[in-house]
Parts: sequence; C-alpha cells; structure tokens
Amino acid sequence: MLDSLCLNIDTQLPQGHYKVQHTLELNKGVIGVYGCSGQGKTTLLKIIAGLIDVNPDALMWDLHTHSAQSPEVNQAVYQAQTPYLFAHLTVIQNLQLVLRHAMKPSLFAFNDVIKWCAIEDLLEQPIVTLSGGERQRVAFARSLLCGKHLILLDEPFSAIDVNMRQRLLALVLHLQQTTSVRFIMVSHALSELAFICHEIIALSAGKIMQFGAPNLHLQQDNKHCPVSYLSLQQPQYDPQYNLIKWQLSADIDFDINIYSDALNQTDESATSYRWLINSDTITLSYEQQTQSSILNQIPVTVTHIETCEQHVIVELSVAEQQLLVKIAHLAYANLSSEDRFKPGVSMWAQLPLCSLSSNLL
Amino acid sequence: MIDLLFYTLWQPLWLTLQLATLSVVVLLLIALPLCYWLSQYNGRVKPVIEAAIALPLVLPPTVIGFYLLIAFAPDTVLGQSWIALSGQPLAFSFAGVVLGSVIYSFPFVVQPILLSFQQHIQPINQTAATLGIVWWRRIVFILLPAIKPALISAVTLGFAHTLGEFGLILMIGGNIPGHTQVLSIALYQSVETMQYAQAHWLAAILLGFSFVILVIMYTYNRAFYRMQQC
Repeated sequence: MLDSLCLNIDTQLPQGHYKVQHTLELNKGVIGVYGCSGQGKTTLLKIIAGLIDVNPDALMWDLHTHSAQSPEVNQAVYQAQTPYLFAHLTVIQNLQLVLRHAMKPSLFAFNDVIKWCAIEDLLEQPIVTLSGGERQRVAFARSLLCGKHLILLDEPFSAIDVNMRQRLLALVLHLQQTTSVRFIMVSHALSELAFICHEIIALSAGKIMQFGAPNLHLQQDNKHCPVSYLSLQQPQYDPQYNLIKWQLSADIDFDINIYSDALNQTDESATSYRWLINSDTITLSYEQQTQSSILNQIPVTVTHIETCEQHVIVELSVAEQQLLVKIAHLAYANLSSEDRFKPGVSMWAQLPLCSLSSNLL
Repeated sequence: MIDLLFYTLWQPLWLTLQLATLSVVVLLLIALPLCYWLSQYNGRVKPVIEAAIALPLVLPPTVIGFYLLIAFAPDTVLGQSWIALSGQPLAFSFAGVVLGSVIYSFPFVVQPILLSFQQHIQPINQTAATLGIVWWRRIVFILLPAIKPALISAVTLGFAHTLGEFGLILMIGGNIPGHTQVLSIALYQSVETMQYAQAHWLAAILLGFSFVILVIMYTYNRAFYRMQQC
C-alpha cells in the first residue's frame, strides 16, 4: 500500500531548472497536477515514473529513502496523453502482452477491466483502426492490468467524449477509494481535476505555484466568474419525475436535498458526485422562494463579501461546504438596503437544476 | 549430359545458395546488436560509423576485395589469425568469400533494420519499461515482432544482393568450382569460353531467382503496410 510520496526534485533539465519539493499524500485521494502547456506537468510524471533521470534523492516513497529504482521495478506506471500502443498487435494482444510479461501480477481481473473501460467491442481490432479516444481507453485498461500500484495519468481522457470521460473519472475516484491503487492525474482542465481530486498542484516553469484543495484553485482560476462545487451524496432515483435526489451532507439531521437530472445514470456505483457550479448561476434572497419553479434552494450563511470593479463575489457556507456567488453591484445595493447584508447573515441560495452531463463542458 | 548440367549449373547454384544463406545469417547476427546500439547512440562519431556502414554502397567491390587481400595476406597478423581460425588462407577459400559477401551486403541488411529500430526502440522501451516489462522480454516479445517487415526486407535484400555479387568474389575467391565458383562467376567463365548455352541457363537462373525474391518481399511488405493503414 502506497501512502505518501515525498518529492525533492532539484535538477537542471534541457528545458530549464526544475525544482519541485512537496509531499503527496497518495492515500488521501487523487492528486491533480494543473498548469498550462510546457510548464512541466508531463516532466513531473515522467520523473516519478523513473523515465527521466534526476537527482538520486528526488523521490522518497512512504518515508523510506530508496535509491532510484528503474522504471521496470518501481511502483509507478506512466500513461501518456497520446499513448503508445503496440501497433503490430490487436487490442486484446496488447493487453495480454502486459498480463504475460509484466513483472508484477495484475491487481484486477481482466474481464472487470475491459468492462470498466468499455472496450469489450474493440478487443479483436488492430490498433491502427482505433480513434484517439479508443486508444486512451485501451491504454487505461493496460495501465490497470500492469500490476503497479501508482498510475500516473497524463491527460488520460482528453480525446474522450464528455459522458464517457465522466464515467472514467468516476471510475478513477472509485478505484482510489476502494482499492490499493493510487492515482496522480495531469490535466489542463481544472474542472476535470476538481471533479475527482483531493489535492491539486499548480505548476509553472518547473516550480509549484500553488497547492491545496480544488476550491482554492477554482476561485483563483477565473476571477471574473469563479467556480465552486458542492459534494453530493446518497443518490436516490425518483422514477415518477425522472430525477435524482442527492444529500448535501452525510449527517441525517442535516436534510438538504439537491435534485439532478437522471439522463446520465450510466454508473450505478457512483455514490457521490462533485457538482461544479458557476458563480453567476446562483441567486440569493432573504426569504425562501415558494410558489416558484426552483427545485434547488438551500439555506446558507454568508461568510465573506468581496467587491471588485465589475461585480461582487459572495462566499457562502452550507453543510461545511463553500459556495461562491457572483452578483452585480445593483443587486448588492438592493441586498444591503437595511445594512443586513454582511458576514454571518442567513440567506437562501437558489441553484439551477444539477445537470450530471454538463459538469465537464 | 546430366553430369555436365550438374557441374555447370547445379554446383554453382548450390554454392551460391549456401553463400547467400550463410552471409545473411552472419549479417543478422552482427547487424541486430549493432543497430540496437547505434539507434540509441547519439555521440560525435555517429556520422563516421554511418558512413563506414554505407561505404560498400559506393565503393567498387574490387576496392574492398583489394584491401581484404592486403589485410588478410598470410604474412600479416590478421592473416595469421585467420589461418589459425579457419585452417587456410583467406584468398581462394569459401570462408573468404563469405567474409567478402558480409562486408559487401552489410548496408543492405543494416539500413532497413536501423531505420525501423530508430522508429520503434524509444517508444517501445519507454512504454514497456514503465509497464514493468524487463529489457530482454521487450526485445524478444515486442521489438523484434514489431520490426518484422524490416527484418524481412533486410533478409531478402541481403540474400538477393549476395546473389548478384561478382567483382569482390573474383578478387578474393577466384574461380574454383565447388569452392568459390558461384553463379555469377560461372556465367562469366561460360561467356569467356564461349559456352553460350550454359551462359543462357546461368543468366536465366540468376534473373529468375532475384526476381522471385523481390516479388516475395514486396508482396509481404504491401500486405503488412495495408494492415497497418486500413
């Protein structure tokens, strides 16, 4: 079982100086690596996989100093964005090759993996006939079958359509939570990382610019329209209205419901969901709106108000989660009329219907 | 009549086939490790090595033959060790002709293998290594199957090119029936001695053989690339 990986990389690479010092708590959740192109995301994964030689004490697994291990024997498998599949073989031969010749036995059953990755129909095809998204799915299956405990995903689902991507992201999260496999995932799409990651590291020019929970990055990513998310749990399908009812908290006394559409109920095993919400889609009122079409209305507490030039950002807390709302200066003035609008005040937030498919668009 | 056919046609044909097969085997044994190393080597002398490999393409075979004769003359160190190894001097021996063929056909076997290695080695090694597959399994079970078309090109080109060898064999091996008289030399001798019936047979055999080998190679390669591009 891999618990932590302490990075102490300090090296000179052809692209420039590379210095990343940070402890990745692999057992706490999926680690995301974020940044623009050419800032060293792929390099970081390749260093962890042992594919780029750096200073010998750069990697420390579970607090034991290991001498640098060769890529064949270490615990990490690197999966490239445009994965290299063995083109002279078919899909199933590619997977069997790994099962037969990798040093470690597979951690998962072959049939489970091909079902998870939805590649049952591709097995007999030669690699050249696959699309980019199909190649990524096959490569992910191959990574799962190679027997290593840490899977390094470099933009793993970038060529895959939104529904399938969401399903695979849910699979990554599910495997991280229920098996001994750990994941580090690189993406330039913050929403994708925020969806599954426990911690996100932002890289720039070979250095860590910022690290922490996804919310921190989401707020800073887009100052004009920040994004926040709510963690939803315990889905219950309502067949009468074709909706899913989610709980905002595991605490039963704290009964706040969020409704989502049920269009994409592809993965029955998903028991939790991170709903990313644009701050300009939320409205606030002092009174609960009745006799309206709004389905998602939750009681919130204002924790912080920040006025910018064009708009006002309001921070809310609900069930120990944080939400961001963007309102116009006029709306701010209306709310502030009796000097009620300040941190600590209880309000109602009206949210749109949660759409399970639109999350990653 | 049958005896005559045997000695004038079958013996040189058999000798030629032995020579070509043996040369190709020796060439593969040398070319595969060399290409494996050279495709990953990026040092300063790489152009020099590449030029040395390509030399037989541009040099007249007689130049190679001349230097081989000089280098392996019985009074040189190389010549002495050759005699110690094979029991006879290089000149006018079958072993000497094999050595000449190996040098003469070297670029034809190395080029396709080297090109294919340069294309495949790095991604295969990286991908397979991180998946936990050790180096010798990578070579045997992934790399060699992946470069099969190049291997077939190399074998057929090396084989066919050895069939067509003339000047170098004449320089080193001379014209000894059963030892160094291959098809091309036998043809030359037949024409010299004005035995045109024999000459026609020998020329037709060489032409037919070479053509069939090339047709086989192109047929196979086309099938392979079509599979890769469909």
